[in-house]
Amino acid sequence: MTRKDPSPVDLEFAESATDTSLSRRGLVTRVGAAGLSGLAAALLVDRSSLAVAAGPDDRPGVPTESDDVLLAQAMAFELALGDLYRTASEGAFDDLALFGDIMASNHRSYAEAIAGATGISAGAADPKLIADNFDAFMASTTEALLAAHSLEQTAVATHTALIARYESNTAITLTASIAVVEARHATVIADILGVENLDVLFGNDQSPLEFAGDSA
Amino acid sequence: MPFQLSSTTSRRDVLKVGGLTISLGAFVAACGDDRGGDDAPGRVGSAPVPTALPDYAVDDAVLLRTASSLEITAIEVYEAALAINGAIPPSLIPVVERLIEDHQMIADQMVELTESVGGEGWTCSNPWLMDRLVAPTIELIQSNVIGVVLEDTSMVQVIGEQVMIAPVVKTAQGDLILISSTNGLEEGDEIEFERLEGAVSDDVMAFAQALESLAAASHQELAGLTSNIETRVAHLEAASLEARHSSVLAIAIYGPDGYISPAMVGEDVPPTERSQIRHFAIESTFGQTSQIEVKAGPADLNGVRPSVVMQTPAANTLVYNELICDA
Repeated sequence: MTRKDPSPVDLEFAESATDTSLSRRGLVTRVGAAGLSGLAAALLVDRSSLAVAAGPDDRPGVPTESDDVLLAQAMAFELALGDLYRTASEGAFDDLALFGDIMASNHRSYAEAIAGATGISAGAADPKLIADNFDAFMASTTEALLAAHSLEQTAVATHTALIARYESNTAITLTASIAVVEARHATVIADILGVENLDVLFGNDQSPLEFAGDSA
Repeated sequence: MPFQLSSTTSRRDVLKVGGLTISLGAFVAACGDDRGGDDAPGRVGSAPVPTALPDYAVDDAVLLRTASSLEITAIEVYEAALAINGAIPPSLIPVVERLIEDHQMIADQMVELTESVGGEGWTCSNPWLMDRLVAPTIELIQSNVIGVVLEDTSMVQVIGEQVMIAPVVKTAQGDLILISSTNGLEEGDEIEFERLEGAVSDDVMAFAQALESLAAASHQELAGLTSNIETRVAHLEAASLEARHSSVLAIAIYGPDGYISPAMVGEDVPPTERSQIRHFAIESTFGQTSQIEVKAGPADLNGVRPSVVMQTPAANTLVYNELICDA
C-alpha cells in the first residue's frame, strides 16, 4: 500500500535485513548463539494444574508478598532490557538511536511501574541478562535487532507465564498491559529485520524465564 | 334550633370544623402502619410504567462468550472485506487469511474454555457490535460521495470544495468520478460520485487495524476480570497475538512510518491527507484499553468524515448467558 504522510518519527533503517525469508527456527538459532540459552527456561504453564482463583472483586488490590517476589525479578529483567537498548542506542545513529531510546524508555517505564506498585526500588538490572546479551547488542545492527527480538519475545512469554502466578489485581493488570506492548515491540523489530514469515511475525516460541517465587 | 336553609356559617364555625377535620386526619394517619408510600419520582401524564431492566449475571462464562463473539465478529469483518472488490490489496490477502485462521483458533479456544467453566460456548458474532458498529461501518465505507448542486448549476459542492460539474471532477484529494445524471439539475440537487481511488481499501485497512487493536485491548481487559487462571493466561495470549496482528496491519498501511507513534516522542500525530486518524504498531508505553477512533466513508459537503468509535466490552456488548446463538 502507498504510504501516506511523512511521519515525524521517520524510521528508515540504513541496515535492512538481508535475509527476508528468515525463518522462526533461524531467528531462534541465531539469537540463541547470542547467549540466551542460559536464560530461557522451563516455566511453561502447566494447564493441568491451573485452577479457579479469586475474581477481581475478591483479589487483593495491591501486590502480595508472593507477587512482590516475582515482580522484583520481572523488574530486574525490564531494567536489563532498558540498559541494553540504551547502550546500543548510544552507539547508533539517527533512526536506530531514536528507536533504541524509545525501546529503552518503554522498558524503563515498565520497571518503574513495577517499582511503584511494589515499593521496591527500581535500581538493580539483571546482571546476567546484560552480560549474556551485551555483545550482541553492541555488534552489528542486525545482530542487535535479532537479540532484541528474542528478548522481547522472551519478555512476552515470561509475563504470560507469570500472570498465572500473580494474586493481586495490580500485578495482573500491569503485567497484561506490559506484555501486549512488548508483543508489538517484537513485531516491529521483526519487520525491521525484514521478516515476512507470518509464523515469526505472529508467533512466539521463546520460553519464559524461570523466576523463583513463593507460590512456585 | 330550627333548621334554616338560608343560615350562614360563621367564621368561628368554619375554624371549629376545620380544626376538627385536621386533627382527626392527623390521628388517623398516625395510626396507619404503611405510611411509606411510593419512593419513585412523581410522574406527569399517562405515560406507561417503565419496565425494569433485567439484571443478568456477569460471570466467567459471559466474559468468555463475549471474547469468542469478538473473534467471530473479526472473522465476519474480514470475510466481508474480502468480498468487496479491491478492498484488500492482493499482497495482503495471505495475511488476512492468516488473521482469519488465528481468530478462529482463539474463538475455538474461548468456546472450549466457556464450556470448561460450565457455560454454553458462543459461536456467533457479537450481535450488538454487528448491528451498531460493523454493519454501519461497512455501509459507510461502501457509500458514494455526495455533492450538492450550487446556485450556479454548473458547480457542485463536494468534500469541502466547490468545483465544476464534469464526468471526472478534480479535487485536492484526487479525482471523483460522477455517477449521477446531470440532466435538469437545479440548485440543491444531490449528485453522487464514486469514492476517491483507493479510499475503500484505505478505510477497510484502517478499520481492520483498529479492530485488531480493539480485540487486543478487550482480551487485555478480560485477563484482569476473569477468576479462572487458565482463562487469564488464554486472554493474555490472545491479546498478545492480536496486538501483533494490529502491528502488522499498521506497518502494511504506513510502512516504517507506522512503527511508532510520534506521540511517544512528544510530537503531534497529524491525520492523513484524507483525514484518516493514524494508528501505529506501537502507540503507547502500556497497553491501552481506551476507545479507538477511525474515520470511515467519504467526507460530507464540508469535508468532514464520519467517525467510528470502538470500545472494549461493556454492559451492552457482553454476551450474557441468557442470549442464544442462532448459528
